[in-house]
Amino acid sequence: MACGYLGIKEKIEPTPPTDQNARDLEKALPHTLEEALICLDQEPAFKKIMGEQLSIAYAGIKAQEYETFFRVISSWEREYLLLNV
Amino acid sequence: MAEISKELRSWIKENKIDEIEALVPDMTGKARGKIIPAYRFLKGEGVRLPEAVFLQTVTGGWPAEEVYRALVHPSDRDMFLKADSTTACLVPWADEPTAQIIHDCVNAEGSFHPLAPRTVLRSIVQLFTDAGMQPIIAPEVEFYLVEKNTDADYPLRPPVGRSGRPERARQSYSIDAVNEFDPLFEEMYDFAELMQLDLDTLIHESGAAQMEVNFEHADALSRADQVFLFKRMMREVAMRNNVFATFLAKPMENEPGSAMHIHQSIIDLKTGHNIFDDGGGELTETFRHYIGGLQKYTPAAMIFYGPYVNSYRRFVYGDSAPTNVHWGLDNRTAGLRVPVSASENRRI
Repeated sequence: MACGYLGIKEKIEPTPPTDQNARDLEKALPHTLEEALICLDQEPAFKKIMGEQLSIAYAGIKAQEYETFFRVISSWEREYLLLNV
Repeated sequence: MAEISKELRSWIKENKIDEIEALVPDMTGKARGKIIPAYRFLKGEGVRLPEAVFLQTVTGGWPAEEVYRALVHPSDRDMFLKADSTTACLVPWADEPTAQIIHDCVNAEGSFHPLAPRTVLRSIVQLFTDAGMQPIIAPEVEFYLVEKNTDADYPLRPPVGRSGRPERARQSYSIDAVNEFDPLFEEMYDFAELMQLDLDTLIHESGAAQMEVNFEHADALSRADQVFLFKRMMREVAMRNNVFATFLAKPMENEPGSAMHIHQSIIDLKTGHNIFDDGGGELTETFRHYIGGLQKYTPAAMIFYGPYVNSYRRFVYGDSAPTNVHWGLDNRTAGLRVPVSASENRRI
């Protein structure tokens, strides 16, 4: 809703509709949590509409959650890397 | 003193409510709050929570020191909880008559607390109201039923239904596969009725014991509240039926992911008509701009749609999750899909 609202206010024209398989078209969305954090940081108008403080809090929480996840060594790493690298 | 509306007072009395759960949806969409005897709640002494509940991570940790310091009052002060009486409903699984009431968070100065997710939604809805518009939302919530998993080191397994066998084949839209869990879904509907949740359709999704529940369309705040209450109820119902319900985006590596689709449209507050359509089936300028906004800002909003590391395991080729922001008419492969619909139901 926030994205759509900004579109109405800024009168943003969309691309033409597609009837192709959109999965084959170029990727445009972040595909990791880290990339998503960077995308949020790059859009001040969006941060403003969500609330400056909320955006800082949310990004801070997500950065911390990512770090917590990254500390975990998975069974995949033990299985495939332990004796091979 | 916290004001309690007349309607809420009489509702509490009529239903002989013994306890009140004062709920606040946190950053993860889970319930925080306090459980209070009804007589105390009615005294209107108010309920408080520390501001810091909105800064906790899903693992119970905290963001970096400087973030915390920048956002939390140096005295680590309390927020005041304000009951939204329109959200009061029964807790069907409680032994004593218990009510759950969603609360807004208000700071010492009397304004909605900027870190409460409900405040954010309120402020965005207000922007639309100020522009003479009202967003209409219909959520579709996907989830898995899985065998109870008490040791997190083991992968999840599909649950055993009435047949005594776990589900194997892909059962998209299968009625019989839903019936495997009949007692569970009977209870889900009973509870939903007691809680006055506007559940619409229940279908079996493509994963093993993966389900989808659709909600009727309505204003955005009521839909957010109902999804919050539903997830809480569904986890409870599953547990009572000896399985788990999980809303995790990608719980099993060889099964499809779960999502929440959001049908969205906007009505003109003056005329009551859907402003995405000119009434004759033609898409309007406002519709185009709304799509344009979704295309431009969705990458920035992704962190809200995909809030966890696990969410991104779902954005893989062919897993009916979008990797871009193209839009299309009845094009299921596009991230922004405009279903075939009559003018009044024109939606994204």
